[in-house]
Amino acid sequence: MKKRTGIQKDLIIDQLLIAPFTFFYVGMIIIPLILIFLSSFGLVHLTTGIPKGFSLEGYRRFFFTPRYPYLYAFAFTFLVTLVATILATFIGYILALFLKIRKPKWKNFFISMMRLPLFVPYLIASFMWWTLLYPKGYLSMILKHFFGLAIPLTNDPLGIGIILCAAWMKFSIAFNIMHSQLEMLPPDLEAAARNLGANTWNVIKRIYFPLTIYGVLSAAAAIFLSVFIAFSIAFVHGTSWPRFLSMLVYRDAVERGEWLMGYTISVIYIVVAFLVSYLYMKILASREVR
Amino acid sequence: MKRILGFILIMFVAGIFLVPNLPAEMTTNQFMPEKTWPSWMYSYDWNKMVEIAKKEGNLHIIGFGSPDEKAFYLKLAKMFTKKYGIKTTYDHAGWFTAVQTVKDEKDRKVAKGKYDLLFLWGKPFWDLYTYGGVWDAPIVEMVPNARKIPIYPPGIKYYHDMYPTYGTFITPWPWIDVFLFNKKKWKREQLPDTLEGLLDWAKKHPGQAAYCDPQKGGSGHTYMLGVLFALTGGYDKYAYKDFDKYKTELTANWNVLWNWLNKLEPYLYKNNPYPAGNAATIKLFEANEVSLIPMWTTYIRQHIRSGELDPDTVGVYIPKPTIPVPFDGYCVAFNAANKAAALVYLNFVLSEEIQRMVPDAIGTLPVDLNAWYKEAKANPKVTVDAPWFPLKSDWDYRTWIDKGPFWTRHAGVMFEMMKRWEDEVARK
Repeated sequence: MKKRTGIQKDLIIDQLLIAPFTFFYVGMIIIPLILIFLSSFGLVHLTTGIPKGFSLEGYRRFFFTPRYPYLYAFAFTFLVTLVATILATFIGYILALFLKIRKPKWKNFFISMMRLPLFVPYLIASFMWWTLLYPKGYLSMILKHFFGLAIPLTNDPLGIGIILCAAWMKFSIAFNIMHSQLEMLPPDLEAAARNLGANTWNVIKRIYFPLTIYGVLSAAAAIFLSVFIAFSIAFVHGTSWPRFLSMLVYRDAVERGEWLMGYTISVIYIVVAFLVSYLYMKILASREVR
Repeated sequence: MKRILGFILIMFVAGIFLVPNLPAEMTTNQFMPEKTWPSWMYSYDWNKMVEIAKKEGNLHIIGFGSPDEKAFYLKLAKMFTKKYGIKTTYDHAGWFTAVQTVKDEKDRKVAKGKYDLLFLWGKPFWDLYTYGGVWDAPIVEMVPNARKIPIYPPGIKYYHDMYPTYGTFITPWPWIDVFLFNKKKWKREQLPDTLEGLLDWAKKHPGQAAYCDPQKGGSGHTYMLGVLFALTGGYDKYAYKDFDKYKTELTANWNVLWNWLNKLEPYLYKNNPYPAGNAATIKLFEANEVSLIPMWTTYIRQHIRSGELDPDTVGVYIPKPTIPVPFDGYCVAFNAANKAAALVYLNFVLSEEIQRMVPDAIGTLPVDLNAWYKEAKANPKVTVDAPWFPLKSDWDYRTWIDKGPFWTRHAGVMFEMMKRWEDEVARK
């Protein structure tokens, strides 16, 4: 009896201790998400322009507007984000591998430099890259004068500007995760492999990569989600068409006062984010089962 | 008959002597002398309003615009505080914030709102007015200096972007969209005379022109509105029509515009025919990537002053028939805590002193024509000879207003055009 009371007491104390987090989580995350979800169906009227009563008008417009602008924007956002994610993860991984394998003397300085993008505000980074990529920017001029390539590097229909800017802003995430993972690997593994005649490529392929694959997936998932919902990058580097989905939210809600579409697209965003996270967790879980 | 003619002649001669001696800034009482108007009919007194404004002691304004416009509005707030002792705060928080804040206060029945004076443009103004967020008082009749706002052509004093204001809106200055060309590359005679003439010109000089993405900056969609008016039936077809009511018939022949714009696209600046915003467009001009763009005079002035735009390259003109002119301005929030102070401020921005500052401070025209001409005499370098205004040999403000063509913007038409542009042009 005394033990049960003790356990109950502990439970109550635990709950009291996490109560601030619970209130924050529920009040600042769960409730707003529920409100957005309900608003997209016209069940809650946080703003004007929402149909009264249950309505699928927002979803109807998202999926069935003639010429499918929203679906096109969704596909564009997804593809550009995927390319940016692969590029950022690859760059981060390669740089972390370089440090692990080469172990340069200026390692600490290198790590600090690699972390720089994390401290640059997104909008500043976006404008910084715009000045590099616009027709009179350094990168454009180098491509034009040395390689004869006069292609638009920003505000372009392929999203090149978005990809380059996002890759720079996010490779730091991949680098930090991968660097930590690689540093945790015992050095004996590489030593043993080299003793057995493995070259660098084999060490990466058979030791480092399999042992850090989940770090790669974590980095990729984090980068994907952050670029997918990005606003400032798309705002500065985007073009008239195709547009990022976040730009359509801004256009519909702010410029056109069509709040219903703003809520609907937000729900689509949340669903995709959950799906990506779910996929990642499934891959992790399947690995554990094996 | 002789007596009547004699009376008219005497009045005329007397007027010649009297009129120049009338004070420039008049109080409302002088327009409506107490002897002819009973007090129950004319319940307010401007001098008393100023007194009440001083007792209110505070004023909170919200606005939007470029960095130079922000600096100007902040300066006006300081000048007003100094002149009247009314503590004035200016927030450059944007029209969206202004409208959302007041709408929210309306929903929550807030009696004394955060903002007193809101600087808005057409659609948000109408959105807020129909929501009941605007003080429904004829402020344009209450503020003495509002008499300077031209009554003709229509669309300036009693409409805003062709939404009827019912006198609740006061505009202190218009925004002027012009064709900006590189005068080191082109002589004026080599450029298109008309709005529609841009197509033929672009065909002869591919890659030299661009216009701002209509959804990202006003210079593009205001210019495009002019083309729409010119190509699809003329300004009078659209002027002051209730767009929602007549939408089907007004938009019936818009395919003419889309065909024209799609024909133009291959000849625009190849890498980015629709730069994302006014700033991005003028940056391409500064980089010599394009040499003919529609652009606001305010942006041209700002970029010259900041050193980004070489004034020796700047040539400016208004193509025929004209480019529509928006007149953004102020309205008073329905629950403004300091309504008297708001009215006194509006009188202040319409005063000759402030109106004469406008061309140099922000690169646009004052709504008061007399102020423009006085300033032109005293400071031609920032008015009639300024590189951001059309050449005085080609253009005169008073002639433009009096003889036209003078087009004001129709926000309803413009909004629909912007929406459709994405599908009809950008996505093709």
